[in-house]
Amino acid sequence: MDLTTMLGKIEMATPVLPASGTFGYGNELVEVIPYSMLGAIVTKTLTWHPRQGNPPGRITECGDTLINSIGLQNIGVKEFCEEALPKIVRLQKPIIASVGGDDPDGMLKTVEYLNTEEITAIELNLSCPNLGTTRLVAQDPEAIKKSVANARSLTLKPLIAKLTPHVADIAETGLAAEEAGANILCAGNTFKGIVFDWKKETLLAGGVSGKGIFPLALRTVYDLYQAVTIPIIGMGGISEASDALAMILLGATAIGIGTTMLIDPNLPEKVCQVISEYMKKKSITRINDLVGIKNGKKNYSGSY
Amino acid sequence: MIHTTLSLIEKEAMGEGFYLFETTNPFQRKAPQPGQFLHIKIEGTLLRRPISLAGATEERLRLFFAVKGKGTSLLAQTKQGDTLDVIGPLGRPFSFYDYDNILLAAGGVGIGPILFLAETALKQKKKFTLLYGAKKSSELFQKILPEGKYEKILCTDDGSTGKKGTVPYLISLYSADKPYTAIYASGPYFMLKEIADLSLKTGIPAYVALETRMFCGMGVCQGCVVASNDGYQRVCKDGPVFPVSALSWPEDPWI
Repeated sequence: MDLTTMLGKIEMATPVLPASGTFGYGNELVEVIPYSMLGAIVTKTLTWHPRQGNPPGRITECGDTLINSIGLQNIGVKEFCEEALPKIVRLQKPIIASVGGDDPDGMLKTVEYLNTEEITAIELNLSCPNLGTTRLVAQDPEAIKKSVANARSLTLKPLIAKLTPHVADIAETGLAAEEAGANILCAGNTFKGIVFDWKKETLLAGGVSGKGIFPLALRTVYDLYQAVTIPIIGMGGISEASDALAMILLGATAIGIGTTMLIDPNLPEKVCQVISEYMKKKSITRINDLVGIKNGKKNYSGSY
Repeated sequence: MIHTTLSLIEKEAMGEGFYLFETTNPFQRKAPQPGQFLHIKIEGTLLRRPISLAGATEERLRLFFAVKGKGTSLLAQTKQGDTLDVIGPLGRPFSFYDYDNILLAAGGVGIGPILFLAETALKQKKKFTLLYGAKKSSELFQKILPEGKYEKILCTDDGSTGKKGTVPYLISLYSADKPYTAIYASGPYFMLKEIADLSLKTGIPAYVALETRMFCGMGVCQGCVVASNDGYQRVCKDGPVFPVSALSWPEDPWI
């Protein structure tokens, strides 16, 4: 089955994306993950200056979730372009560069630096929960507008705004990004959480991901699809192929897999298989025709 | 590294909560090296668990681990003939460089990688001493040690078998009159930290295999870092074997 997916103007072989931050700079996992099942490469979030990240003791498992506090450790955009980019270009996939950090000027300089022909699209990570900031850009519609509009003025490439689920109404922040010129929304990031370690009697505050957050993430996709007109990348807790399909049916044009892909490298393949089977069963030939058909929005007349 | 499966051929429960697994070896193209580990999917936990390789032949792999939490406790329930989903071999292995007359030091479950290293040293006809310590007699497994020509020193914290004292204490005792050219160690954090101090004092280079919590095991998530003289280093990819001089050794262990 042909799973060619149009994510806005980005043509991808499948709707499956690695979630930023779980895929290194893009080429490290070629021996383990079947890249043919991925629609694009998504880099870890790049910053203008290299970032050391947060102190050790960065991850803990908690039930069906993982808490992490990496703090955007990365080599910086310049070293990325010199060292990593030539390697991922060879993989012949669309390249989505994620940019972010706690310094708005640095973020814009990074966007400008990445405005090169190798890069297909730019994801603005407005929602990293591990930077010590009390309020995320993605929690403030005005701040979102400013960041997106500034980035918009620097590049014609598709801009993806990576939102946070930590808002009263994600439709409001999604609309703010759309109004300011974002072409695509990434429905989420990790949830802010804390695990208490009884052995050491200390806490680890960080972003919660993994299987356990799936229903919460699915809700963000549903709510965004109700409100916006631009495509949505759904992500958060997808751990089974059917989770990915559910996200598409509720409004995601593409889906991101993070935590579980590093545990089950075959998940992208399983996702593609389940989507293909579903399309066959429903006699649908274009995957984009599946998007949102069970959301109940707008002119859709089917049952849901 | 590849993502593959292997099956459990033999399983031996040892002492209180230690296990030796012999499995098939699916890594035909790239032989695993001492210091490397497998990232094993466990039914019942979210994350994989990194387990050190304790040996490898063309047909078989050995894994030695202690039950410490939920993951290792579930892993211990694997039965003969069961299949395990693994990613490996992972991590930077030990290297002998040009050293000869070396000391291999293991504490507790740290004997796993050191066993593998000792077998490699025997094959390469290196002169070495194996120093193996545990808390007490019932946690010191002499029968898993390789046969061959090398000096063996055993110790327990309570003196119930071998010398009385900790591994670092005995290293300091023995290295005074026997100038080892290098020390290779695996064991609990504070043992390795003492060996690092000793290495600094005596000038004998030391290489240690670290253990920490991991998520991806493949170098992409940056979850398992430790502080080094050159920023944070990933235990899974830049290690698990590090020269002690490259790391900073805080009072608080990493896990």
